[in-house]
Amino acid sequence: MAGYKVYVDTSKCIGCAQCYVACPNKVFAIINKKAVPVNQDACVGCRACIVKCSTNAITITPRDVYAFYTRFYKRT
Amino acid sequence: MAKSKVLFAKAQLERIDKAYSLPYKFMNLLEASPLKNMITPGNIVAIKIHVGDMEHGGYRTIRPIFVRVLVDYVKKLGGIPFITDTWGLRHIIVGLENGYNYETIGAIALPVSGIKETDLVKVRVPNPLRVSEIEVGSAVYYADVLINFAHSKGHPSSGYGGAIKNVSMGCTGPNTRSAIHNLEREDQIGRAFQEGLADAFHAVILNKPNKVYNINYVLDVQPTCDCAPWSDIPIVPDIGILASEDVVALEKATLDLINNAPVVPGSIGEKAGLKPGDNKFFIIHGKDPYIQVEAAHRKGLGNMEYDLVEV
Repeated sequence: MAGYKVYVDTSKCIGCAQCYVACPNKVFAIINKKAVPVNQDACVGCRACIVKCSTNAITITPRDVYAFYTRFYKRT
Repeated sequence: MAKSKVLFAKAQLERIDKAYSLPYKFMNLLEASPLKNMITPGNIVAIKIHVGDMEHGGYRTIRPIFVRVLVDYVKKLGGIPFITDTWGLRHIIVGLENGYNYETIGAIALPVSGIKETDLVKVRVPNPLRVSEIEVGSAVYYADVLINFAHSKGHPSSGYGGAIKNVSMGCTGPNTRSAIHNLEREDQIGRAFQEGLADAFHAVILNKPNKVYNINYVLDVQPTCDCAPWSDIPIVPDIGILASEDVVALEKATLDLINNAPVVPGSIGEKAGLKPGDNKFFIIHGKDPYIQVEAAHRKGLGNMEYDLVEV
């Protein structure tokens, strides 16, 4: 399981909750009119949230994948 | 059971002549393929490729000239080709930036399931191994013919991604991708995940009997997926382009050729100490890529025995 880091740029997020609706794994909550990835460990990297987001506020990056490949690559 | 035919255009240039260069050999491959029997004039032909990552860090995707050769051939047969990929309109724009546009390839690009991945058709999987229902992108579901033009490379979740994964993950919706990725939690060697891929492949091709042609682009065989925002040097030298109606035979032949190849000096193949004959992606990723091939075979999607026919 690769594991993903989900980041929401709060200056871009308008709290429309499209990501909350789209996410099959319930990663997001809407807190104070902003999307917050409260359940990051559930993210499998399907990118449904990124596709739906109208303001391009979400990025996801693989996380644990680096731990497995340290025999090939330096850690970032 | 008779062996399945896998056509093979070798990347190696045997003579100093354009006829021996891969774009021309690819044309020969297409002429020798059953596409002429699959496409009737007026057919809408979906060509599924991976157009690259969203952040422009990866660069080892299929070179547009090969897509152009394929598009031209489909047009010659009277088909109406378009290229397609998942992740909505933003990803299609990435594809245009990466060189897959009308000027270069001669076809338009469409998102497989609409601008925000909402145009999906639910399909029940026959004899499911892991996933019983798949959401198929409407652009592929309603196309008359599907040409599955995949880039063969490594993948962290399945060891390897080629023709099977190109369709399973690339022609389906977010709920399907998520359901299959969730299977990664089931075991360490990627068995459940790859059996999920076989289920999804089955569902996508279900309404297209004898209307799906699979092509593996076995150049730039990099360690990880085209969706990653990075590329590394390939683990094996360029092999060529393989194609078959039988996706099982095609994937088996591709993996066998990659495994029998020497490693590229300086690649992570060398760092892993790989030798010709090793199951290379299994050693790199810890996931045995033959599982997806065997799973597709068990589902009746093809034959593990093949004849490699050079064009």
